[in-house]
Formats: sequence, structure tokens, C-alpha cells
Amino acid sequence: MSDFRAEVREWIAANLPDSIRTPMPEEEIPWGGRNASFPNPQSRQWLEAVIAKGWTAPTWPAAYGGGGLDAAQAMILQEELERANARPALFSFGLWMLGPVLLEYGTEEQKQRFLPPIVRGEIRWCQGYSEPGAGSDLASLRTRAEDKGDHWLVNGQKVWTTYADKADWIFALVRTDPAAPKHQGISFLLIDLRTPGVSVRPIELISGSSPFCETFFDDVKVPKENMVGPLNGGWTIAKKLLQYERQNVSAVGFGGDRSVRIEDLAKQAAGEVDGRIADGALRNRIARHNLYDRAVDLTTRRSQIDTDSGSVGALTSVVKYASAKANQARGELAVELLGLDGLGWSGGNFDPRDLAETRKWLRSKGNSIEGGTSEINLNVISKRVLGLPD
Amino acid sequence: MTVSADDLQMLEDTARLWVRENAPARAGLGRDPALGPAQWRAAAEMGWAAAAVPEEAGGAGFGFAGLGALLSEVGREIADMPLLANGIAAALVARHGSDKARADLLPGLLDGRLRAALAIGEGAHHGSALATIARQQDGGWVLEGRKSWVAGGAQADVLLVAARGDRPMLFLADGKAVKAEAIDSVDGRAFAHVLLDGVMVAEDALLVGNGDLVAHATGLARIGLAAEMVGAGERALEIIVDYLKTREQFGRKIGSFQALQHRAALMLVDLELARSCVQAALAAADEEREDLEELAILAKYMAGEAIHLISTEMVQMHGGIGMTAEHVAGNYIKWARVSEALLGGNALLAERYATIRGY
Repeated sequence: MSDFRAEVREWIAANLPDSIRTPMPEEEIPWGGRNASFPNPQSRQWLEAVIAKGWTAPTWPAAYGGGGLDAAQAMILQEELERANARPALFSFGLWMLGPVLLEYGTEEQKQRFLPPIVRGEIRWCQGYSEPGAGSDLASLRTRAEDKGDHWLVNGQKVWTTYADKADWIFALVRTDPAAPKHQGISFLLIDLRTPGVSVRPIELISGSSPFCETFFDDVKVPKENMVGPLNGGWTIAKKLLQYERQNVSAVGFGGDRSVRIEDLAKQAAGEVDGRIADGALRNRIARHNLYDRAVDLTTRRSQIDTDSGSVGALTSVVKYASAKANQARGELAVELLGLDGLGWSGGNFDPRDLAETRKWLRSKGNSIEGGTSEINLNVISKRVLGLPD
Repeated sequence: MTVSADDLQMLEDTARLWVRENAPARAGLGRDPALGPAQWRAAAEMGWAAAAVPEEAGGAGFGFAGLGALLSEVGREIADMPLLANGIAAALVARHGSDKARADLLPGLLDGRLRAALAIGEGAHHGSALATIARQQDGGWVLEGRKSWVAGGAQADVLLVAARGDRPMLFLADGKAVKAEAIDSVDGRAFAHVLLDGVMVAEDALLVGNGDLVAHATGLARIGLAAEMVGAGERALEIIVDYLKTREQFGRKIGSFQALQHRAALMLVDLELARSCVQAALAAADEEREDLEELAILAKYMAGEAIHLISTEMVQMHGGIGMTAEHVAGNYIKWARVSEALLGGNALLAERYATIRGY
């Protein structure tokens, strides 16, 4: 065993609280931010221990609060955390999406200002990309940022801004040159959601949950120094960030709760013989699903290693497509196995765990839409990876 | 034992050129022109069969990661050569063989003078039942049974035989002591049924190690085969994509049609999923991890899914030419189906996976 692995193992043994070794219920997900809540106090304790090592962002430079690890060390850390069944210390769009592009495109001042609060989970970020008229065709976005000398004046609307109602800041794509071709008039802007003129409205989904919002900008003044990268050079950054997004929505299983194992639902549905799912055909389907799911997990990890060694690329669309497929297949299997018990909406006639499966099934339908639809990802693979012609 | 990414890349590049030059996939029916002994020795002299054997045991020290990379290159051209059997037999003999086996057999397995075959699977499905029996007699063992579809079984000098004594056991048997009956398989590879009709082997022909060595050897063979399958899928997809980029109908390249683009993209998805599993399984083999059998099943299962889809689409996307014996699509789809069935097809692998995972 390498010295580093031994060190990590020892550190985990000393710092990982018992309750953080169990599957994480959705309400205990640690999102951080100004209004961070920790229903389980050990989540806070774990987060603080991880922050002290800089391991919320293992590969970021120590100068910005990160762990300063190389790709191989980060891999070892990840393996040891998984081995210990450790929950992630922090869920954060800042860590997953904004941070990596700030490291690449931000000024030194921007890095020093924005990265450490991300590492420490003090500021919660959300993403302002899609608009009512700009979904798959993202580059046709229309939210304007006008140069008013000492500030940008932002007007427009974003949609599908995940957790905007709970976030502190938003990273947004804005149009800074309406006359230029659509990809060349876009800039990347950081906006404090407390700024006057910003308003947020959650959207109710078919699952009954509201993770997504509409975010409105009405004469919002944004300081000039909050632009990342060159004026009208935002599209390159936008695409890079999308790759991180695709990888990471997949890595966290679309926020899906994995604490209920599909094979256990199958045992309930079909009965058990000698501890096995009694119906052989069903058992085979469950095993095939789990094999696929595990392949997706391994591919997600492989694409993260690529990222840690500095390249994001061919695999991100593969991972995004396949993890959506796997999570949706799981949802369909769960509802099928529960039968009519899996089709209740609310109330005491139903087991709360079954109701949760119903909601997860419905929520999973968004997996092949959010962060780039499956069709867009297949386009990316066929054009950019396989090089097929227009 | 680990090998650097650069070394691995160099190994792959060299192997790709060599296999393309010496054993390219050829269209046509009938028996694959099996690699001649001289060519096989040339490959073995580059250290290929020694890849997974540590340097201190006389090997090349590339680990299973290295052997897997080479097998993928062999798989790209669906070349019929005994690298899988020799590479795995050498690694097993080096690790688990008696002093005598290591002295007598290992050098020949490493440099290719001795051709190996893995006599593990039985019956039409290579299921997990092990009907071949090992009986103790006169200080040695007697093997009775019949192995099916042994790759290179009729050409082998040394066979690695799985048999059941008081537990599953692995023996080394002399190729001259068994009856090999060559098979005319759909893909033209040199397979044979191997009859073990009271074959006597000495005590030191037994491989010794902790745990179930038959399961271990089966796992390694599945991983090696999966590596070949990923290579074959990768090459087949390249051939498909090349065709989509050149074939014109309705006045445009057919690869510009989104219906075909998305189907090509789906093939890449399955291929990359399989590649991740093969890499993870090779790492498990190098680290001698307990979850080797699970990962071997996963690798072969996903490689099977990928190659089934890709080889089927390879025929369809080429249209009429893909149905003719003049095109390699037919060779790839036949090679694919045989590989999918060897060492357990996907229904059987899924069932075994469920068993291991406790459902």
C-alpha cells in the first residue's frame, strides 16, 4: 500500500463519523451556502474535517483552499472514500462546474475571490443557462447585458435554474453583442442573487418537486469585474462548463437516492427462494440492469480521471447519455415491481417508501433532458467524437 | 504491478502495426488462415506472451493491463493466435505452478515455443457446471471428461484443464496425452473438442493457490476475451464510420443522416462502457482483488452487449455489400457471436452475477 493510501485510510478512520457511512437521504444532502442547513450535525463535522484538508476540491491548488493533489492521489482518495462508504462532504455546482472554469479562465483576482468560498461551501452557486427560447439551441439566448460604463445592466429571463431559490450567486450566460453571430456575442457573468432586480420563482414538476426555477433579471446592475473571460468570449467557457455539468449530474446519480436496492424491491415483488429472487426471468432482468448501472459508474469514474489529468472530452456525453438511461431504467423497474402500490400520489394508504419510488420515477424523466438532452449528446458524439459529416 | 500509461500506449502502437501487417482481418468464408508458427514466435519474442508475468519470473512485467492492451490489438483484426491462452497460462504457471512446471514449461510458454490452450468450458453453453473429474491414483491424478470449443485445442502443446476433485482444480496436461477433435466453426477459428479419456498427470501438474483457482482462471480468461472483444468492436465501429463518411446516396454522405448518426453514437456508448469495465477488471487482476470474478463477468457481459450491437449494425449499415462474403462485416459478426458464447453467454453471466451479489 502506498504511503498516501495509508495516510488517507488513517485519516478517514479518525474523521469519518458513523452516520456519514450510511446511504444519504435527500434531506441530508449538504449543499452549503449562506443558509446552509445540517439536519444531521455529523454532516457539518465531516464537512469541516474535509475542508481542513482541502479535500472538497482535492485537485485544486492549495493557494485557493484546494487539496493540491495530483490525479493519481485524487483517485486514491476517491477509492478510499468509497471503500469507507463515506458520503460526499459537499454537493456544489461551484465545485463541479464553476470552479474548474474559473481555474482555467478566471483572473488571479477572481480565483482568489471566488474559489476559497466554494471550497469551504460558504457560497452556493446556481447555473443560468437555458431560457424559454433557448433550450437545446442554447446559443440563441437573449438575456442582455449592456455596458453602462462602470457596470453591466442585465435584463432577461433564465429558466431551469436548478435551486436558484436556495442559491447565493448565479453564473450566467448573457448576450453582450446582439449584432454578432449568435455564438460570438455571448459573455459569462457572475451575479449575486441578492442584487436588486433579481427575482426567482420555482417551477412545479410532474414529480411534485421543484428543484428548478425561473430567474428574472430586471435592470440588474452587475460590477464590471464579474465577467469571466473575454467580452463576447463566453461561448467557449459555456461549452467547457457544460462538459463538467454532464459529467457531474451523472456522477451524483441525478441526485437519485440509491439507498433502496432494486434487487430488494424484486425480492419483495416476486418472493424469495433461498434468499434469491424467486422468478428467474425477473432475476435476470435485475442483474442485467445492475451490470449496466455498474458499467456506467465505472465509466463516470474513468471520465473523472480524465478531468483530473486535465482533459474533459469524448466521454462526457457518453456518461451523460448512459447515466440518464440507467437511472430511468431503474425508475421504470421500481414502479413495475411495486405494481399499483407504486402508483399512489400521497396519503396514508401508501407506504412512504413506495411513494418516494413513484416520485423518483417521475423525476428521472428529466434526466434525459437536463444538462443537454440525450439527443444533443448523441449529436455531440456523432459529430465531435466520430467525426460524422453535417 | 503497474505499467505507465506511456509504456502501455507504446505497446499498443507497436502491436497495432504488427497485427495489421501480419494477421489482418480478411473477408471470406471458411477457415481463418491461422497464424503460422514462425509469426507466432515473432510475436512471442516481442514479449507478448510474457506480458502478465513479472520480470523476476522471467516475464515482461507489463501486468494484465499490458496483456489486455495486446489482446485488444489482436481482437481488432479478429486474429486467430494463442496469445490469450499463452498469456494467461504463463501467468498462472508462474504464480501457481510447481517448481517442475515452472522449470519445464514456463520458458516455452513465455517465448511461444509451447502453445497453450485453456480447456475450461464444457457443453454448448460453457456453463458453470464442471463435469470433468480428477481422481487421485498412484501419486498422481487421472482426468476424465470432455471440454468443448477449446481455442487452439488441436495445436496445443500444453493444456490448462479445469476438473473437479474434492474441489475445483486446475491441471497442466500434455497436448499429446489428450484427444483433440478439430471443429469447423462458423467464424473459422481453430477450435477443438478435447477428450480427456483417463489422462494421467503427475502431482506436480496441479496448480496450487488460495481460493478457487478454476474460478480465478475462468475470470482471467473472460477478462482476456472481453479485451479482445472490445478491440474487435472498436475496429468494427471504425470500419462502419469510414463507410458512413464515404458512401453517398440521395446526393449526400449517408453519415450526414441523423438517424444513422445516432445509431453510430449508441454503438460508441456501449463500446466505452465495455472498455471501462475491461480496464477495471484488468486492474482487479493486477491487484489480485477478491472481486475479480464479478468484474470479469461485468467485463465480458458489457463487451458482449457492445459487440453484439456493433457487429449487427456493421452488416446493416453496409447494406447489400455487408451480406456478401467479399466484405469483412460477415467475419466480424461471426467472430462476435462465437466470442459472446464462449465462457458463458450473457444470460448465464447475468445469472452468475446475481448469485455472487446475493439475489
